[in-house]
Amino acid sequence: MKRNVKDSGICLARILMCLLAVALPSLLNGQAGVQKRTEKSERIQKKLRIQLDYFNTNNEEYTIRATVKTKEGRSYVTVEGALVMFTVAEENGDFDAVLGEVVSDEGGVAQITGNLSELPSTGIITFKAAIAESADFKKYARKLEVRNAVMAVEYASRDSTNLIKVRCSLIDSAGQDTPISDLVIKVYVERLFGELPVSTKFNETDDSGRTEILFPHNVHGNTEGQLVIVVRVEDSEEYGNLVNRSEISWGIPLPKNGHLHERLLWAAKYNAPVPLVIIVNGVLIAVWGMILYIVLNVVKIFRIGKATKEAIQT
Amino acid sequence: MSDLREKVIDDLRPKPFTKWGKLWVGLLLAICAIGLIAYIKQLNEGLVVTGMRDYTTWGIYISNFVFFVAISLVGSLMSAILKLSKVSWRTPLTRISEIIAIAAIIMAGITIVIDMGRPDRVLNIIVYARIQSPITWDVMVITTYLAISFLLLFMPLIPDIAIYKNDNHLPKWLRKIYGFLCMNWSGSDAQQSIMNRSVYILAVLIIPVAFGIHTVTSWLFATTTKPGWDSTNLGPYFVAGAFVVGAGAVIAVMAVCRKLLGLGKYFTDKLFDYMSKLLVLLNLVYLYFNINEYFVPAYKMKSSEAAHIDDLFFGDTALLFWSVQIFGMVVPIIILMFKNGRKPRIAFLVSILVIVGAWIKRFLIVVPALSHPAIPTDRAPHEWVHYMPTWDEWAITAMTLAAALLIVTYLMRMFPIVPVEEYLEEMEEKKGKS
Repeated sequence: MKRNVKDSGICLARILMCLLAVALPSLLNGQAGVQKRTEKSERIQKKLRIQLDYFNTNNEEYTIRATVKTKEGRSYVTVEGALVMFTVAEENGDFDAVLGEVVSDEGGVAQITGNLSELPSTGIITFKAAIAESADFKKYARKLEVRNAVMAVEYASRDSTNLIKVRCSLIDSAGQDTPISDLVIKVYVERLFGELPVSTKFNETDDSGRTEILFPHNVHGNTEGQLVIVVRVEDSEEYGNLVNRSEISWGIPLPKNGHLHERLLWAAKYNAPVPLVIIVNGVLIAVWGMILYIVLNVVKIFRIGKATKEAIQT
Repeated sequence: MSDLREKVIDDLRPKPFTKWGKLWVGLLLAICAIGLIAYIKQLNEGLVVTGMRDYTTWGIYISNFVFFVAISLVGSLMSAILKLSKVSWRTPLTRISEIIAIAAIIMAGITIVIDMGRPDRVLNIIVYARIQSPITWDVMVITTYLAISFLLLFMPLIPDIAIYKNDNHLPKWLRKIYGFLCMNWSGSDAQQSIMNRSVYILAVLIIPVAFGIHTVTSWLFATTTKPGWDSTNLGPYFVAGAFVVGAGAVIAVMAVCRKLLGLGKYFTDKLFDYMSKLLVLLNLVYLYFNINEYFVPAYKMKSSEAAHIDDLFFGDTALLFWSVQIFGMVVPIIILMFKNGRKPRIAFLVSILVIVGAWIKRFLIVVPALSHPAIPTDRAPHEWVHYMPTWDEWAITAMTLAAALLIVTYLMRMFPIVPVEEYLEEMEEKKGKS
């Protein structure tokens, strides 16, 4: 009986070995195939998309921003490390002047900033952002045409009301100023982690390209009441983003941190109940008093020993 | 008596590291080095290298801190409570327990600094401390406890150091240290009287401070309204748990000393028997607090507590929770109730169970309560809500544990592990009585 069991065990082991001998090469091949397929899939170039945004800040500075994305599954994700070349069409439109090359960051953003005077003085400015073909990406380019608009902002205080007067106009190639109506103006205040909206309703420019926005009185500024007020025309298809950023003393001044000394441990009476201060300090003084007494006892032991030693020596 | 004195002095003379001792120190240093690398990384990159996020803001660093604070209570148990109760068998254990207490409390302080994102601002904790904050009380009471524990270790050490300061068997560097630390001790009546008075005052003083350190540490949790922490029971619960782990640590170190330093004559079977019985008693008290701590909220199952209790009893942490309750508490009680279970080797193994269980228990006190925040977590990423320690945290935590063991090892290497003078006095007293 035992021998039978042993024989069948050996037999089973042989079958398993044969199976393994047959299966192992194909398994290994399969693995290699998977590896090859993975390498191949890694080499697939990504199809990119670019979203282009134009910003005119204080009528002095322009920013052209490209957000590089690719489709993964059903949604678009941003792409890091794509080299984006920005160009702008020259006045005669024959060729494009290179503005610069920027690599997209982890948010997929590549942007370039320059002086508005460097751009052609045509009524319409044409930007182009292009990504050249590489091992990782397919080539892609996108154009953005914006009309050369300006936003003039004036800050006025009248009868204890603070008004932001905005005028938007279009500058054509001849330098002619044409008012822009029906532009939505939004007002924000710069804060530590973002911008706080302060305009309570949508404000649209009238036929003369003007609007007046009432600025609230209850916004806190810095210690001098200074605020950075940001006036924006956002995502206009024709004009892009017009931004005006100005520092104005319309905020409520925050008192200087004069309470800092009151937050010191030894100024506890300012912020803690006095009985608690007395109890905690009382217990501390009592316990540390005893510790000090013991330390003095150690010194006493040392002195007695020293005196004894000296007495023995003499 | 003189022969006995010579024999005891000879037995208890600090011995150099053996091959195994050096290996042990090397291992601990290697763990410390790895932990240090991880800590440098944490310093450079910030606490983002840990698994702690907006919801679970306390992880294994704080569990480790609570563990160290707990284990340090043993100093007061041996040097104060048993001393004032005139329990004579505790004499060989006092120094071990004080050494453990010192090592644990030092590492507790260091662990808190490790848990800080900006350790360079550590001074602000003191300068801008709010006196009504339990955190401030904890800083105060830990510092005080460290000072008293240091004195309680140092003072009874003075006569022993004086015995060995001219002992040629010891290396010169150690004799020099002894010469500096012995405070010109001659054993005169005046010195002896000051010493006795001081040690007695320290023994009385350390009890409220030791209870204070554990109660205040529990208040760090209990003064919040978080389910799992919001309990008036937490102070005594912490104190009881601390006594258990402290007693376990003493048994473990005692067993190591007995085996490796050949001190079986001092760490007798009877001593293991007493300590094991004490551990059973302490564990029973702790078990009582555990039942009280979990049964009442589990009976009421208030909505805020239910998620926490469910998680502990049946959820992600159930395995850990029940392992700790059974193997860290019930099994040690059962084993140590039998005479054979109180033999050194088994008592040692049981004490290791108790210590490991105690560490995990602190983790279970700290972390699961934070996994059920009051603010909504629906849109938060999974890893923000569910805490999982990173390898950096494990390495740094291992470093603190290794550093504590290193302190214990070196203090055992440098000083007599049993209080020589006190032991001899006790022998004399016994002889006088007989």
